[in-house]
Amino acid sequence: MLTILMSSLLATSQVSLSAWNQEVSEMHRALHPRSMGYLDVAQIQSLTPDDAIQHPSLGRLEGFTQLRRVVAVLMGPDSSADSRLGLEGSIETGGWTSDLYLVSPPDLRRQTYSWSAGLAGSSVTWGLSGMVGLHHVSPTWWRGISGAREADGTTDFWGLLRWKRLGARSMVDLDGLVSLRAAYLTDPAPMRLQKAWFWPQVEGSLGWERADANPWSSEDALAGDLRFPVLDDRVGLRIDAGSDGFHFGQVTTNIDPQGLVGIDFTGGRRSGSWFPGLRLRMPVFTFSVNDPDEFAIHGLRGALVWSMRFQMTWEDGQTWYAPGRRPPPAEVVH
Amino acid sequence: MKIASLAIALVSVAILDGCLVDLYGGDPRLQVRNRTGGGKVIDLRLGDSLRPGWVHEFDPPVDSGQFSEVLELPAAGELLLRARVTGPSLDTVIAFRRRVVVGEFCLVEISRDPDGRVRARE
Repeated sequence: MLTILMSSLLATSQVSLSAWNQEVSEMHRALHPRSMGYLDVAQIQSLTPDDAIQHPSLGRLEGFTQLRRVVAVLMGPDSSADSRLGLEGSIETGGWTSDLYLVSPPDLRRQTYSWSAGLAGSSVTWGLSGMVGLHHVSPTWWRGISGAREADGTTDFWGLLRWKRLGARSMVDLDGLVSLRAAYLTDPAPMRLQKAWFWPQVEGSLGWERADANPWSSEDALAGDLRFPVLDDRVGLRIDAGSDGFHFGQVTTNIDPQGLVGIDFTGGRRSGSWFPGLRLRMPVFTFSVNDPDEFAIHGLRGALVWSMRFQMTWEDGQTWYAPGRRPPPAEVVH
Repeated sequence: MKIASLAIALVSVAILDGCLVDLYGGDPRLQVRNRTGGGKVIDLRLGDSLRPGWVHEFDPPVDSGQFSEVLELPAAGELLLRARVTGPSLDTVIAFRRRVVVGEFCLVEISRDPDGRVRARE
């Protein structure tokens, strides 16, 4: 009984931590000193029933996992200022439900709620941007029949930093380091092959994730990823692996030259089995099935997952693009 | 361009919504068959005996040799179920686990062994 309860508590904590870890990763990749803001509205849901949820009295239940999230970063409004301050805030809600829904949840559900608040700053002259914040997960409750409080709340702290083409992000909680990653984006180096010019640019990261923040296995792991173009700006490859094995490979294709519209194909390995993934990117909106950047909300159990995201970054008052869903931003301060 | 993108997004949402309705198979259904040879099944409970989360009282009770109405359960999975069975020389509650799948039907047969013990079988 104790084992069941402990594994249930761990599953709750793991989902919250690793899901936020992935969001911090996306914010880190999206923001740079000239950014004016960031917005992410996401609905992520498993489509196949999973029976890995242990209810305190009803038994081992079969149902669906889902997460709804709103994250916003708003920098100071004067885009001509050299240095600016900004605020970050987010609300996440979700958990486990006995059936699928889009609008109102069913009576029987395990509900988690979390929020974060942060402070951002940037300096164009220094080529520096960063953000620090607090992320709090409220106690987990069973709602509906046989409702019960299941897990205590947790609090963690996170930060990210970008200096020119170098970046770092980290999370810590009261038990110590949760995750730490360093990232680097190379200068585009011109290359001429016969009469054609290419500007290949490579982006990579390397770091460590604690087991409960690692969406790919139940181990502490060193992990890294690499993104590079394979056919002009139109086709790119992304590989993610760690000391716990291969995570996934992704082919990104851009239909338009700005990388705003595209289709990405994923082949990944998790919990000992392979999964395919598909992502459709269009301006602002992203629709996907088994997106590796959103798998964390489902703990370690593989499932068919769909997501819909409204995601954008303000570059200045007139432009926007979908960060993290396209090749690295062209405008990075040198 | 922006209007076209918005239109594509709205159509995609509508299609996905339709897919969700199709993929979700509905509540699991369960029916009880009484084969106790004289007993009546009074009710079916889901959850702890001290604090059942869900109770269905059969009205009238399910007589021996009869089927209950088909019940829609509030949850699926490996459920902890309890049924109360009464009769001339019988008044007991049996506890059993039953695997119930989302959107599927499950028949539970409640019978009595030669030694008098009441059991639930699939």
